[in-house]
Amino acid sequence: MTIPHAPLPGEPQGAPVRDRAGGSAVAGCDRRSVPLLELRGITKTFGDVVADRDVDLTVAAGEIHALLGENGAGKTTLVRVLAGLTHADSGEIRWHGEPVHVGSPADAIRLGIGMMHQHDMLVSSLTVEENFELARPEPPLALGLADTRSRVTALTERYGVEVRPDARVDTLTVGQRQWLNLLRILDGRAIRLLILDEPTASLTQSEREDVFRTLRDLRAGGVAVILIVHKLSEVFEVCDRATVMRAGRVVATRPVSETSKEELAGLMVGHAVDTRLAGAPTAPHEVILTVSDLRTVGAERDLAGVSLEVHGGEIVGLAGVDGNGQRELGECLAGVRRPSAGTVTVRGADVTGCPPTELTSLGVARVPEDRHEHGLALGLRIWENVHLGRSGSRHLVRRGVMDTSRARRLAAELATRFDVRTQDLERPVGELSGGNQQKVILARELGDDADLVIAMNPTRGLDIAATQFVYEQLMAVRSRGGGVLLVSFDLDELLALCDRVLVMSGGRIVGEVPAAGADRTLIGMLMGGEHQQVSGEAVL
Amino acid sequence: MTAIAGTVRRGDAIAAAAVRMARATVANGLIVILGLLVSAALLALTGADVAAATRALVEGSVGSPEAIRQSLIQATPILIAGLGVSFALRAGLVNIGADGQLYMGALFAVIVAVYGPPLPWPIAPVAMLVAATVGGFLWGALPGWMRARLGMSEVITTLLLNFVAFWIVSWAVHDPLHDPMGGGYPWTPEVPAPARLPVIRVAGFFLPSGLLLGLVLAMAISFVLHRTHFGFGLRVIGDSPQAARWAGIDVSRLTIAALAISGALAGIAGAAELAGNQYRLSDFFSPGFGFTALVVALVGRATPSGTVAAALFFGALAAGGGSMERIAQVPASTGLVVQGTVIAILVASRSAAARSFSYRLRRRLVRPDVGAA
Repeated sequence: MTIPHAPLPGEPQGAPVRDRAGGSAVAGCDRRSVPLLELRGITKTFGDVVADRDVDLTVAAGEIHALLGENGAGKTTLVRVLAGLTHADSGEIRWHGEPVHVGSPADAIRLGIGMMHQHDMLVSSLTVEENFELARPEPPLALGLADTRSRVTALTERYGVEVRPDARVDTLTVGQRQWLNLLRILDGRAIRLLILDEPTASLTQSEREDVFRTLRDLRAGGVAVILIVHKLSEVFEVCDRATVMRAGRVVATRPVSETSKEELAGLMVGHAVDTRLAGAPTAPHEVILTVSDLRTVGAERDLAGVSLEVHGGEIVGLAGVDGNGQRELGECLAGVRRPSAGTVTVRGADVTGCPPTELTSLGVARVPEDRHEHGLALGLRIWENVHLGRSGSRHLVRRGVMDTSRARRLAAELATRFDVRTQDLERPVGELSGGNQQKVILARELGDDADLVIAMNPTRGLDIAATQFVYEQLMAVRSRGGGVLLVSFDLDELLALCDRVLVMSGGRIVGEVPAAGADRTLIGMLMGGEHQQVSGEAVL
Repeated sequence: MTAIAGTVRRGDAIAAAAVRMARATVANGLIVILGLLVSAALLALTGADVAAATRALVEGSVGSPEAIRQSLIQATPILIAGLGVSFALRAGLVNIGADGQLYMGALFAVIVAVYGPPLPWPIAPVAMLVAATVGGFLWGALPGWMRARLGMSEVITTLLLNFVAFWIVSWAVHDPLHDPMGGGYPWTPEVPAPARLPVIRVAGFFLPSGLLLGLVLAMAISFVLHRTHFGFGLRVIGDSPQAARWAGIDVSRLTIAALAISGALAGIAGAAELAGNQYRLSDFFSPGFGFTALVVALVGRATPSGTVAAALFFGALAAGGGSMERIAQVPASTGLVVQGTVIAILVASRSAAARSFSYRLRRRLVRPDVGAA
């Protein structure tokens, strides 16, 4: 099977480059040939957050290169730089050894770089062929649908995809749509580097195997593939080399044949020294939160029977790759998603499916993952946001009328206590910086000395000082005997703060690890979907 | 420059609020003036005598006590209906059905006043207003229910219910409620004298009591929005339905309530117009009051005070437009041109480009400390 591919004169067309040196990707390259792609010192920051820090990466023609790392390690930003979707602050991209400027997706397409995004880029209300027409690099004035149809038919036949060109995209399955995303990139272009950001996340096993077969075909045609993956098993299924990123840096690049799942998992989660912030284990308190066999139907990732307990005086971490049911669990516990089965009890009271107001009156604080969408009404004043959903429980309302002067006074007190930095609580909360917005949420949720805190990625996007402040607040809850369930993508954060860490994968909890002296490799393996292999060791 | 919130004194907060309000008023005033200028330019293009037209406009709207009375009478229905549209807008709901709700309110009111038992003043006008409230409430609650329970866009349903209300009224005034002594016009008998809303004379000026009712309602709405639990919930929904859901606010219930109250206010506007100006319900009762109310609410930025100011302006424009036609032979529909121009400029001024420009300007000039912490 041949793949659309136009070789340039003098282009290296050899076997996949196997490099032996793990530490430096550049040094390890086959010196006789120039690699297809070389990234040197790529740095990209967003405000105070460094997404990529001095990243080097080398990819050879005809190799499938895995990019591994936790959420937020900088993988997606790196490939977005490559695809011209964002610009690096500094660093160099070399293509066939020549420095190139990738200023826009059009530049990337001209070089032969195609990217398949994590999220579907198809227009649902259009047909398959119309979507292909949209993706043409230089659209003609008139739609050439007849021509497009024959191309689509040729592509779908070649790759064995059963999709009619005139089918509307919204009638297709997730797998079919994913295929179209891929075929659209391969359509009519001389693709030399294909970037796939978690292409298999929502596919069935057989669809996954089809995609991998296609990737191997492309590799045989000399195309280089960068594959962002989370499942360790997939690295060993199709990849030639794997680069592990962590906190914006490249930690190591390894030929897959010379590494193991354990090594990659260990590199992914790091071997940081024990930086525990939480003090000595507190004496066991009574159980505050009990979740048993919680299930959902119709969510993005359904819960498949989650059971856990949170005691007073402990912080329980919930680790896992994004999209494994953490969000759905948090929503169930926050009262905004109704589980289909199972129970949630708070201090013995059954609160399954209870509305948020009832949870509030039971002392359950919720720090939502999405500050802007779920946590705050951005156009409303700061003091009003401090009482959002709590004006009743704070007795600020009498016969429907709000005591606004008392509400302002209380908000000012809480804002001071939680270090919200602003001159004027009458301003819309949307004008505050991210850190201050999160402090407004903490002031609201923790101001009444909550008994149980459900915190979902509470430090995402915050600078160091604000992050530290969030940690202090969560630890204060713990030391006064409250319980915290902390959902986070940052393993360092979990290990530093928590008493024990639960690992979630595929909508269930696949293991529990005590945080002190935790076996990071074990957590990494559990997160990477290898729980069958390690379940004997994990404390379940 | 960063101060801790707790140190802010109440006086400062009030001063800051006053500054913000003044700034919004100036901004909207500029938009209206720009709209007038553009309209004048359009008039000049048609070869009209712009100077004479302007004179007629000013004289016909504020030139005499009688002109002012006309302006205030014109302002009354668009003020009350405009308050209704504003109220829904604060909950994030676009009520384009104020005209239909106004017709339904007037229909309920005329039934009580003309076909009910004869009532003395002031019970009669109160009974009319109550009936109109019920009519408008129901006609607003219906799209509210469709939005909350069936997920249908209130923009579409309120718009289409205008036609339903109009044709119900049209049928009623042609057949069951038709006045046989009415000179053949499709209208109802006149509202009896004890049910009419009087014009109050204050210091040589005439104030329609419907307008006073509108001012009281504006204050009441301001109280509801800013001082009650219910109003807080409405504003949260209007700002972020998701945040409202997470905070445990019953979004469906408040959506229905917001549109029902919005409709009730439009219904009251219908009764005020009926009992204060036209006295008969006909199928030419509303020259688009409900749509002018939408303009009024948008120009007034959905605040009660802004709505009052905008309603007075557009009321004056309507009264002045009539005298413009009589004196300067300029079509009265020029007033509609002004409305349209103002809306176009308003929308443009709130576009993303304009907003980001003014945001950058403000950050640089006015509040260098915001967002710095």
